Amino acid sequence: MKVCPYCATEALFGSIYCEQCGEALFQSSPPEIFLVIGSQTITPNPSLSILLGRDPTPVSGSQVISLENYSQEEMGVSRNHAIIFLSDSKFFIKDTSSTNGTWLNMNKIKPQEAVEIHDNDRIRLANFEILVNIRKR
Amino acid sequence: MTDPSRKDLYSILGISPTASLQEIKSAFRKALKENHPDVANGSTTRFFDIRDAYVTLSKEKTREEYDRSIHGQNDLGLIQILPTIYPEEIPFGIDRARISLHLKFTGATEKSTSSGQGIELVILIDTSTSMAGTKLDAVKSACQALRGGLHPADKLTIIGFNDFPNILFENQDPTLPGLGNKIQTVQAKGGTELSKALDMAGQRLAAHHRKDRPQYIFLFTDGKTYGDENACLQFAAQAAENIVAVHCFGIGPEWNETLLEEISGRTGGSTNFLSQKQLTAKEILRYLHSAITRKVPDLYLSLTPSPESQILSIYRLNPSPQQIPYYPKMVIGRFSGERQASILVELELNLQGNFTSKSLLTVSSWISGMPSAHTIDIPVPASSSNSEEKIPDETIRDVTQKVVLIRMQQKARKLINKGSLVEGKKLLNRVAELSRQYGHVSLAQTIVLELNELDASKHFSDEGEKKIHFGTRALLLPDEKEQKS
Repeated sequence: MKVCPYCATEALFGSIYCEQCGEALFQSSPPEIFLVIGSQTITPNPSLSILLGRDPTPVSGSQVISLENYSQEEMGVSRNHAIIFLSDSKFFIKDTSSTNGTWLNMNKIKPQEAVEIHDNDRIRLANFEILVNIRKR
Repeated sequence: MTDPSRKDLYSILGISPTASLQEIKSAFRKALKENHPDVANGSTTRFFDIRDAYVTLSKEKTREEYDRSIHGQNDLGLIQILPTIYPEEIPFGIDRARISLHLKFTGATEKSTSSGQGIELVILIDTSTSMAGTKLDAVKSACQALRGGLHPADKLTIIGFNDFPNILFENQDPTLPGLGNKIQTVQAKGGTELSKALDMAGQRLAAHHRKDRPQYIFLFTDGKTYGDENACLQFAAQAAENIVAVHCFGIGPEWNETLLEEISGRTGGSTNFLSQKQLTAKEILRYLHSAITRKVPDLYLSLTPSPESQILSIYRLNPSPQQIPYYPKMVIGRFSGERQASILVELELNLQGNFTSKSLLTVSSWISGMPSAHTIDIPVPASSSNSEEKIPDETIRDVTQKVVLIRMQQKARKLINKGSLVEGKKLLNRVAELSRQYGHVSLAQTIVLELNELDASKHFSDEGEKKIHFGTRALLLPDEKEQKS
């Protein structure tokens, strides 16, 4: 037996959609995300929030990508600069009130506001550029 | 003496028709040793049979000739069945599961069961009082259009029916000029007695029955029949036996879609909803051409579930998507080499107690007029120590998503008609929401309009229920994806 996440009706093992409310009962695997920094590509675990910064403070349920190790251009990147997270199979970025701001494809985003990111988007944390690749599975 | 070519040479050697030359040779040597006249229990007749079988099957040319002789003119009579099942594995400890099985049928069948004999069509026109006026006029012009789509070699019978059936003309060349006027004389009066009309059509078809001439019934009706539903279903069983496909065309809001879907589903036909503006010549001819095929035989299917499994539902996806009732022997519909057929079978598997079957379901499929069936065993999904459920295959996901929407709107309409307005509307609203989410925008709009209508008047609009049902069912059509707007 499994339980529908939408209406809590019980359904037999093997049920694909809830007969009661039509909700999907299978877990689709999350899309993959790749962060291209200079000549390096990082493959974070998409199910955990990605903390970006010069030396981000670890939080449970998240992973830390410290930009200190990449280049001199992390100058201006805040300690806790931004966060990338998955919601409903889509990736979002949120500036965590950084000192010098975050840009998505040349547009500055507002602090603490989640903005969806797509394949081939360019993120800039202060002067530090990251290319995003997202692949659906 | 029996014709020696009628003996199955493959079974004489105890091999399958797909055996390799190597297998044929070793089977021959083995059979010789066991059946040599000098051996105890040996037999001279068997010995010669074995030798003859070997002589024929060991040479490519004579084997091909033999294969062709047992398959008639056609060496490609076999149907292929391609199954996709979900889930493929069931974790240990789970004793009940729902199984979705998608079956695709392909095959090359150039051989036709009909020749230049044409087809025979009986049109049943509901002439009850409610048909009077524009509806009957529209059906009359539909009949004229159908005549235009038929050939001189075809035979046409038209029966009007209300409380009793009345033959307008019978077994005529549809292109005869006088028939048009006869159709125009039809008048509406009385009730709707469907089973009497179907029985009459069945009798007339049986009287004209000629082997190699496919028979069809087209039924146009706008009303419910009362009290004779079982008689109608009995007729359908007989029609399925006699290979008469019943195609139903419902007009307006009143007719019984459940009954007509069962009758048509039983006989390899289809049920279609025609709003009055769809009763155009062009639209009717489209239905005629998709329903009637002159060169194409029927595809049959038999499903035998194991004692542990129970069939919950069967949806025919192609041709003419609709739910079809389960019977041990089913007609899927007309089937040609290029066309494919597919169905979705939903089962419940009960593994409580000590179950013995390795097989979930035996699927057997054949074409009328062909000597052999293709049979496959669908095994019970393997037990697995991995408790995670995998993601279903895209085809199964897509089809079940739509089938669940069909069932949800059926349930919602039932609730509303029973007076549970709030509950029914909530469910229907959810169907609209999901339809929009899946990109079926015009269906979502149709449902929202009906929800507004329900708010205002507590009733569906005139053809609202039919629009919702057939709009949802149409999602199963293969190539008619709605445009996202």
